[in-house]
Amino acid sequence: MRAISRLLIVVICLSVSGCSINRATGTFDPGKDLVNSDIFYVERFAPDKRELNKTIADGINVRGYTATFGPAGEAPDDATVIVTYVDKWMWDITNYMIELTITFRDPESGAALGSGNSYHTSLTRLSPEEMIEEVLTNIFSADTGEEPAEG
Amino acid sequence: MTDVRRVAAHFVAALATSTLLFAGCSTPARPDRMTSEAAPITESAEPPQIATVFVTVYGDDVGGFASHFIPLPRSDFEKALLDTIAGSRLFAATSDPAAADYALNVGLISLVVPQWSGTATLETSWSITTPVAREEISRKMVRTSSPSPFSRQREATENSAKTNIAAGLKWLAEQLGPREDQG
Repeated sequence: MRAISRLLIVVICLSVSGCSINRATGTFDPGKDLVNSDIFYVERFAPDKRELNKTIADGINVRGYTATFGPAGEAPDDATVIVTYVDKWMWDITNYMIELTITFRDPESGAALGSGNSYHTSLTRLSPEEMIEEVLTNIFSADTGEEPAEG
Repeated sequence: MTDVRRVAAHFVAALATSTLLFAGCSTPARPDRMTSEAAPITESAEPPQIATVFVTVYGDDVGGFASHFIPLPRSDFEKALLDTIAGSRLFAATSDPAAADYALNVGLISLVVPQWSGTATLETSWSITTPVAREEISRKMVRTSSPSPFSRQREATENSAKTNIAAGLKWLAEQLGPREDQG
């Protein structure tokens, strides 16, 4: 019986260890800088039913920039940065956002100027608002050359 | 009690077997397999050198997180890019910005891999700037896809990098190469 108990402990430890993975990254093209006159447009990710693009636009606006949001491909002509994102959700007792990637893009080429990613598994889950805040903070920090926030 | 021990022994054997099976998942990708010799940028045996570039690769390691696929480290991608540039003979890389004709910035953006088998998609952002003033000349999103079978996880990551580097350098050659209308 003692052997089984030990095995159970090992199995539980192995199972739960995967539940507390945290990762937060942010990067920005060193040859490019955001300026206060930049106008952002946050494109809705097609499968997203929660209107996260609105929350992302709010997060950019509070940083002193101008950001609007809407469907993909309908950015205003004066937009200087297009923001895209991909959110992934998992089920563990309740539904939660496990991963969020936000990318700032050049409107003409579609090429990325900067990108950020947050990954938090079940035991350390964050709300969508907290995930968005974390990713945006890391992208803007990367632009100014600061260290990314801890995940 | 004997039965309990037998069950425990089987369980330990199963655990050891699965550990050995999945040990391959943690094998790192090989940068030398990411150079695009198999996908030459030019057909010419003696291509004329176009320019000297100061290369910066930025971004974090991508892909392979929360997946059984192998991640692509930024340092491996950078090494493969520099090796491919050297092998291409179209470009030369320099570590001195003042000695370069152009600066090339390549950002590792994302490597999306399938849950089991399918296609891996690597996105990078390439920009050419003047070497010192860093004025942007051109920018390009390079997004390439390659097959990612479950049994070839490491190769899937390596092929993604190789295909992407080849596509990016082809674009670079088109941007900086001699134009036909220039004779």
